[in-house]
Amino acid sequence: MLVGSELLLASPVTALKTLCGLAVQAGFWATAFTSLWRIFLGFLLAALAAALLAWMSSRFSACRFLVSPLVDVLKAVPVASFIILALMWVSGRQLSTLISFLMVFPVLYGNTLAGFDCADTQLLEMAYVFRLSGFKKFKAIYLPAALPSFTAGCRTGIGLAFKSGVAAEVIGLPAGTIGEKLYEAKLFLSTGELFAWTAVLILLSILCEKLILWLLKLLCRGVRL
Amino acid sequence: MNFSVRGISKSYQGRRVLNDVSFSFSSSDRLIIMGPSGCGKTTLCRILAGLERPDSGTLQGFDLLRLSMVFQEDRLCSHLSAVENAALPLQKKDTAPAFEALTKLGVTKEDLSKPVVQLSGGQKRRAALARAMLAPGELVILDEPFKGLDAENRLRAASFILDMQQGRSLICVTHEAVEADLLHGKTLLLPMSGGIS
Repeated sequence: MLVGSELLLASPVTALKTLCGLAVQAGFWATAFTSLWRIFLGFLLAALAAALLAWMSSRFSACRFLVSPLVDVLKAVPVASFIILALMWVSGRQLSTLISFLMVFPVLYGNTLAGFDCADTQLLEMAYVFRLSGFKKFKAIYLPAALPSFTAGCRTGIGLAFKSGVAAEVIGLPAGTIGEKLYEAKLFLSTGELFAWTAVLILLSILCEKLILWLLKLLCRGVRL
Repeated sequence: MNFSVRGISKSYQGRRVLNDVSFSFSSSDRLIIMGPSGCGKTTLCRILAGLERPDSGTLQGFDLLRLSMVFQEDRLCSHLSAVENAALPLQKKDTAPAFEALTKLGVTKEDLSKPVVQLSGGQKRRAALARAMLAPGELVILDEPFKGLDAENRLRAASFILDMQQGRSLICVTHEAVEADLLHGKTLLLPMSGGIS
């Protein structure tokens, strides 16, 4: 009896039709762009903060000592707890940015720090003997050491940013976001719309991943990696 | 400028590698330190370069010294080309001196711009040698600079070292008498865990 029930599980054709129907609506692109921008901003801020703090932690043990417990807490606390707590501090609009930042930061920080820690000690000795400047040391030794693990972190992090960011939108319900649309799909038992918006999220996540990997490739070319 | 090494000793895990080593040299001297494998030649280079502290003994004249070095390993940045590696210690961004030096050392034009990871052992060694000889400083330490070079390239490298010494002090470590002869310097013998004779 349940087989073929569009209410419980919409078919791929229904989902595709719904997606096509949504795509021509005026609010669709604005909704997708709003969620994309807020989540991607959280990811970008996390990437910048993680890179900077990982670099400082690799250079100064005091910084590592201060940041490590914070990262451990961020890793251990469930995303739902953060979302509910964050709702008390920030508006629904900024929620997805904050949550994606909090979820991505520990992953990228850990990966990047591991990369910096793996910098070739023989090359560091060479840099000491030749008195290479801090910039040259960073560009020739530290950056090539950290970039592969930073890139791997970005691959994992972008998916995580979208998952956690949309979860935050579903709970916080900021207007004109994909999270709100998913919540409405649940309310109206519209699995077709649910799948259609999920497909949009997957596409956005893939596009962002491709964009980030392309940017990192450009950076690699810049430092000839 | 005079440099002196007085009573240097160094042990690793109870095994004495250098024992009361003393010698002195002055600027523009060429010093060839010879000895069998395991006698502490590389350890001595590392101490002179400030990479390790001796257990006892003193170094004089090395404090504010700017030096360059060919390490026992090539220690090149694998993603950079031979030219970029050789130019790394230079103050200016100009890679022309590195290009010229590597050409003198017999590295072909097409290999100059390849990442060094794609080069042969001998080519990498020449890139390391070019980097050390181009770097500014008052002392050059060469730890087995001819390692991996064939007879022709060894001669080329030796003449390059002599050309590029330019009034600097030079310490070259080797265990081959043939290589020592190429540089025409004062030879010091470092016996197994002993002082220099």
